[in-house]
Amino acid sequence: MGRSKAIVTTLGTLTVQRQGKHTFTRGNMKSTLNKMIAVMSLIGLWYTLVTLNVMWPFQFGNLPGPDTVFRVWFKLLGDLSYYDNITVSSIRVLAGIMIGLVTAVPLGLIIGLSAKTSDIVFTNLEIFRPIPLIAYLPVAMLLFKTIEASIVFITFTGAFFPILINVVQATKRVPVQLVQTAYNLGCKPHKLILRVYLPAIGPDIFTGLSVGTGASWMGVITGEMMSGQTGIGYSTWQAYQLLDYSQSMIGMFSIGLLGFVFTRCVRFTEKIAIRWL
Amino acid sequence: MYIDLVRIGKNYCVGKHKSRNAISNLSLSISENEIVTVLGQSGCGKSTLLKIIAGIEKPDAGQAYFRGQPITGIAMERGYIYQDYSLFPWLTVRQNIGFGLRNKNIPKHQKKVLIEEYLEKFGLKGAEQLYPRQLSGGMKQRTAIARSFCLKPDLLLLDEPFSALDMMNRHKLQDELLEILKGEKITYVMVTHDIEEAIYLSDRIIVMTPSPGAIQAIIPVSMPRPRTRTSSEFLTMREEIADMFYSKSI
Repeated sequence: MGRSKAIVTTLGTLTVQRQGKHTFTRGNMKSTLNKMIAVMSLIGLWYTLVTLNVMWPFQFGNLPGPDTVFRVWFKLLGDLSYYDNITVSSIRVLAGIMIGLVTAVPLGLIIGLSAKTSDIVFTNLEIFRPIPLIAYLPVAMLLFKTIEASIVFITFTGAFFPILINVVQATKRVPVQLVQTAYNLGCKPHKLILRVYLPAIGPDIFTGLSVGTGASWMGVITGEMMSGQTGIGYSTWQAYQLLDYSQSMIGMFSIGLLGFVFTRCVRFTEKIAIRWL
Repeated sequence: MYIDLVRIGKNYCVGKHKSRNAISNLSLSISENEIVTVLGQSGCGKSTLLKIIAGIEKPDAGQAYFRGQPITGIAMERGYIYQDYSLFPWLTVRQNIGFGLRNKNIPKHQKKVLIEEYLEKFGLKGAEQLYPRQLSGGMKQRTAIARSFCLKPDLLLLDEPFSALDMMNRHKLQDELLEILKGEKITYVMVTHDIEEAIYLSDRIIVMTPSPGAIQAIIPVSMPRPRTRTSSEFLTMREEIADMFYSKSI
């Protein structure tokens, strides 16, 4: 079913395809142009502030200009260590998300279904939930033999709680009526989780995953900055300490881009997995 | 009898310590292959009655029997169709219809044949790949009925099945249902607040009064099918039943 929506613009009526391939309409082109102008003007502003050495209200003069940053970045793209750092950080985040997913989903289901488990397990978890990721670091270092493991522990914690909270809430919200219907259609109690609860909470798992991915990235960067010897967070902080400010800013933008790519990946998987919404 | 309800009582909690009597001391028997309609205004306990027969709710007093056996819980042989159809939103029409068949011990190819047969029978061909949110009310309704029907239940319970449809669709689906019921050995109990619908479809009408829910009258309908909604016999009966409600409420 081609779900399309007519939008009236100053240029006339346009049809925007909601599903399926993007068609390159006039409206699309204009929107892309607007976005490009927005980014270009931000870079222009940055260039102007740096070149004019503006020191008030903020010390823009201390920053390297976009010309320098992009030149160094371009050179860095040919450097293997740059990709190494990105890969290391990405693997840490991915590992954390995966471990978070396989633990938080079953646990959330059990907590959501059983009031007793909720009282016993969830109470304890609620104590840990408000603790900022960075505050786990000393304990993580003590608990795990390697720095690698303690950083993955941080990324895991970042992903775990958002997924857990979403799964618990969603499980409680699954309509009793759907469960009764499943029984009425002969579904055995032990198959209920797989055939009713899991698909019903699917969208909420992805909501948790999106939030968790963001938190996980935050966790990996702080973890690397504090204790790492590798990773994009480490290289960003190290560059600052070595007064290599261009590198610092490249690190900053790279982290932003990586976060963006990861969120897009989650969205993409969601679109494939949850087709019924 | 086929279904026996013996001195059924059911209370509902309203607030902390108060409870409201939804049904009190209600006895009723329904025989096999009968089309019965429970007619009453909102809040007269008619849906509760249907849920007790389905085994979704347990009575606080009395006992419900199906084929002489006490009803203790939900069972596949007693299909129940919810007012809002209760389709699984993550399954397509075909998958929704197949949900119950997956729990039955029949060969795979036979399941496929059955699903095709019911898609055809309920006019859902061409819509089998759609998800519930993409369906119109009538199509949702058909899917829900087909889903219960293909399991060949002995008894089909429907809670206000046509109330969410517009009049044209309602009439159409009522005719379709009668057409489908014709060839099947099935007992059919439906709850409604629509007098016309009750007369059009049923062999027997159970009229219920509210607070507490009790049977006011049992009216056999002997008009031959297909019935005409505008025949004098039809209209007279409609008048009589309507009078019953008005006399009670004044």
